[in-house]
Amino acid sequence: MIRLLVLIFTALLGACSAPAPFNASEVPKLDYGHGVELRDTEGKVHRIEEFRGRVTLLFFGFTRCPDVCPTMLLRLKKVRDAVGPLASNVQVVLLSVDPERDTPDILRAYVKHFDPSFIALRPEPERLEQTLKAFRAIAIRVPTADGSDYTVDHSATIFVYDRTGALRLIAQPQLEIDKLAADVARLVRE
Amino acid sequence: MLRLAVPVNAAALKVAALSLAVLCGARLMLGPLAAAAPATGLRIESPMVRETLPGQTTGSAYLVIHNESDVARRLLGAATPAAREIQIHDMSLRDGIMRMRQVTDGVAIPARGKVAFVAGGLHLMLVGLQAPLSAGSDVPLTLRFDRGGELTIPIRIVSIDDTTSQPKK
Ligand SMILES: [Cu+2]
Repeated sequence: MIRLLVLIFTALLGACSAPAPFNASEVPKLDYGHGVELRDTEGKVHRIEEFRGRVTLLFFGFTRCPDVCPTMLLRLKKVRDAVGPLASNVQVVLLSVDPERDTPDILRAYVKHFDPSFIALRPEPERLEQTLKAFRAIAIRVPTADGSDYTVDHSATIFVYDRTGALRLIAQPQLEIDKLAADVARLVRE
Repeated sequence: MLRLAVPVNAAALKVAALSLAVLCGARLMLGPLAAAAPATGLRIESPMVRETLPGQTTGSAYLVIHNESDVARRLLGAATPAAREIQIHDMSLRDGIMRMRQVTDGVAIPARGKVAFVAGGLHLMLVGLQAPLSAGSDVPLTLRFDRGGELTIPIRIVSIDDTTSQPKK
């Protein structure tokens, strides 16, 4: 059903001269995060712009966030699936905001559970702040009430990079799956 | 849907539970109806906890607490043998930032009202899990209310991919 809608939506788009706005907020091809080196869970170094060729959905999270982050990963899996046969052109990336506790092993198990194609990038703990700054994102460590532990308040928006590697859309976390999928399908076909 | 009736006569149940506890030993404390004190009128709906993935040491539990009495009550805390402690947390999304805060002064359950603990909102956070939570089994959960009210119920561990059995706000 979602796939069908995406197809119809895309077909309709082709028919009119002025493209309809995206469902997520469109930004003028920004280079947020470009040039920042980030290691994946296998130790390979990536830069976000090197995912060009694919549409990349990047979000910020951590594995000790058992409440909202799994929901987000499930949603992004559904978005990717809804793109249908072109799903292999969609890359979902989790950028850890808690690299100290998110070891590569923990991160790998976490993201691969949702989809084997998902990858997690882990900034070195001492470079977390400057990494987030490059993405114009925030993560703030907040101690729990009894002081024995901490949680991380973090940016909850989804960054959508187009196939040229430019940041094109910023999606709120509650944007409906089919709407985000329609946006992503459109970018995949660009 | 899973609905758990809550004891109507807590005192009688307490007696029954205590005598059974003598017979069966402490294990009974994990039983579904080991209510200790007045929890009359409190009903728990759709309790569940999410399974955890390898390496995760925290879990989230969700449920709806109904107060069918004419007296406002307060959830003070919760505990489970499955974790070192349970914290009441509240999530909020403000200015594009996801925030999670520990609620330390309890949660009011209004008279003839209900409070839903759901993903992205109030939830029970299991901190320091003794073992990974795997889908399909149950863990006991004890909810502690004001005026000495206590309720122990089994909660089902559900798959992390399961979004349908979660209570809705
Ligand atoms: Cu929490």
